[in-house]
Amino acid sequence: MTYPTITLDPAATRQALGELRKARFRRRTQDIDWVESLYKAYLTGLAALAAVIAASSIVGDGRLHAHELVDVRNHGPAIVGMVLGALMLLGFRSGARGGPLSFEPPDITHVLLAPLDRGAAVRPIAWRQLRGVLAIGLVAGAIAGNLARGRLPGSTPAWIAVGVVSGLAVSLAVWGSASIASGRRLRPLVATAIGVVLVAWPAADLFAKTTTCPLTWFGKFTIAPLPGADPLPLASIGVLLVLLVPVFALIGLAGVSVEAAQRRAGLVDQLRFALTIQDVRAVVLLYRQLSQHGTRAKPWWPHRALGGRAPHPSTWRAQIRRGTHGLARWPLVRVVRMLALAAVAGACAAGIYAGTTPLVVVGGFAWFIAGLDAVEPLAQEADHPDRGAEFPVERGPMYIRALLVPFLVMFVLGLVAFGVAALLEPGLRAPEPALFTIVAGALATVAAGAVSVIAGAPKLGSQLQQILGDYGGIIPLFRQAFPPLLATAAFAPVIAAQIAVKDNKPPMPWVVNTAWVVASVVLLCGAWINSRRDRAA
Amino acid sequence: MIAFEAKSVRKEYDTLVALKDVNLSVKEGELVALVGHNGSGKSTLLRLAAGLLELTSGELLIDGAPAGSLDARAAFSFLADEPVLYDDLSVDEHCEYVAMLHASPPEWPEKAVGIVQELGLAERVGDLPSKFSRGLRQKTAILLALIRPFSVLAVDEPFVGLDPSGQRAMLELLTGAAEAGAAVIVSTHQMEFLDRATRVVILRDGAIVKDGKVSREEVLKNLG
Repeated sequence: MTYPTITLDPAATRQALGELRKARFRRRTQDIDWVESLYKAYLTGLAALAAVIAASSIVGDGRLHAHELVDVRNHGPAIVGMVLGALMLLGFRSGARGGPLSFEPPDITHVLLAPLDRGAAVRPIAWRQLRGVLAIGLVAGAIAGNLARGRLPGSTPAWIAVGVVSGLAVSLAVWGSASIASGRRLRPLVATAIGVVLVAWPAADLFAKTTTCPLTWFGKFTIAPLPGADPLPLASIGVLLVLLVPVFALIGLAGVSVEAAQRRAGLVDQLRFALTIQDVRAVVLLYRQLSQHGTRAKPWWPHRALGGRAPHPSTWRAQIRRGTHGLARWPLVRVVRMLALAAVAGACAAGIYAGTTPLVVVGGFAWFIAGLDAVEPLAQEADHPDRGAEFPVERGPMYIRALLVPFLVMFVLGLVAFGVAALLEPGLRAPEPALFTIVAGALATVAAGAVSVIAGAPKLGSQLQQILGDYGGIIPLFRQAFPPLLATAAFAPVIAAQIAVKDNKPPMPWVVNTAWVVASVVLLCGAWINSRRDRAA
Repeated sequence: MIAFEAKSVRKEYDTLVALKDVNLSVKEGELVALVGHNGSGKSTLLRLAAGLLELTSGELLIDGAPAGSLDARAAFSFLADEPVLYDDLSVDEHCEYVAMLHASPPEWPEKAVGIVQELGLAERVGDLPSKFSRGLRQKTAILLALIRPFSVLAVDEPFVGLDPSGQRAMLELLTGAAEAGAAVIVSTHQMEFLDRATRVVILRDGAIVKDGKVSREEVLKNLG
């Protein structure tokens, strides 16, 4: 029955894998409707183009003043270096958990466990992934270049070209960081330490006004079209060093852990499916599993043991205690992520107030992600509808009670965001408008998270969709777009303050009025949540 | 000659200890049944040997090579409890691909035909396994595990989902592999297989509590 076992050399491996790819390609292309595929490609291209134009032409393209340009020249490179370092930190951490490559489960069983050169088996998968990474870098770079062109002096082609090259380099560096960590099997602590150094070094450059870090050199390249910017040699070396990261990654890719690859394979499949059906809650849960961010076995603070005096029964108290118990089991990484998101939101608020209004998209997205994490007690109830159905309380009021703790969490994060914004932008240091903005922001983000969780994935073929006929597709689109838009409304008071200041008017009434408008929308959401009665919610 | 050797093998998942310093040697030609409750560590041991999981400590050797290494992968054939197959390859295309990746000797197609007949898959070799029932997918996975060269065959719960004729064929194929000189380790509770096994290894809470020729009654007693 058994044969003498032999192993395949790299050439034979490539041949065998090539045969497989051909056979699978033949099978897949048998049923392809080419006209439909070309139409899809056309639509995707059109959407990407629209995104580039829309993202670069949103309001707020005011030119910087002379003193601000001096700041950009002096501090810009180090800040860009810090941002790149932070993205590489995320890459390194993801790689330490097995990313970025994701294998099909049969590839793990039949290819990675076969006696062949793993490098030859893994690299084609890496190349395929790199194509997507480069496309993202290209589009993001073009958008960034176009945005910079709007606010900074310098020739348009130069800004676009530098934006595209920078976007490609950044995407490659982040992918490379993750691949180095997974290929070299770096432990999470080591990967995090490397990432922290990559953030701290350009930060040191920023404060010491030096240019010692290669990431700062890369930052010099990103502002090269600016008149009076430093000559290019150092900047070019920075770009080349950044581009060495993916090269180094590709060399060591064969060392990828099969255990991590197998864990990711199934989860990535589910994650893709959840994204396809636009199930945001499933995406959050799968992401947590993928990142291995479980809840803490030991709570941050002790809870009352059984056997003591029973607390006074109250549905409000029950939900508040349930919320704080859940909060006590948040993993450290989630706490850090929430604080980082708050810092991003604060930085965006400062940027918006200074005139870069498109940052509302970044800030709104950060607040939406934070809101999804904050409403975890409510999400747990929605995840287990059968258990909640046993309580002698209507589902809607119970959901409302579960939102008090998330509101307090978002209020505290709002204070953090205010601290960051005030640090960066002196115009945002007044406490009264800040308080209104923070409260409105906390309400909006909690409502956004709650609506997203309770609404769940869009249900196709609903009664309303059938009534609307051809226009029915707008319902699921609205359901998915509304929560992030609501979270973005958290920045409405900041925009109002910016407009008021520009028109030489006192900002406080504008802020208060805008905050009331946001609160009114939240109130309507609250009424909708309170009216939930169906078991599956 | 010892084909499978576990020396103080330990596997931890965060705070959970799945295997506690397990020592186990299996010689060529032995037919070993691995039994134990759910969560006793059977699948973990087999997955460690296949190189799908990484050891926390200890040593696991396949034909003298560390589990997961190139030589170990060449010698170790693993049939997981859940069949893992490509959606876009037919049964015969799967066979060809696996045979190529494992550099199977030229006579592999004849061997494949024999196994296909024995498993009752002859009519379906041109079909896509994605359209198969659980039992047929399991049979396809068995075929793939057997057409490649190996000196250790590890099988996790192979009888689940098979019809009686499939179970009989499976039993014969596993016995045949051991008779041909392979070390065969099977995680199962199927009594017929336990009767046929040369050794029964009972695992409980990640440790071996019994190893040898064990009667049905003793197995049932140990499993509670």
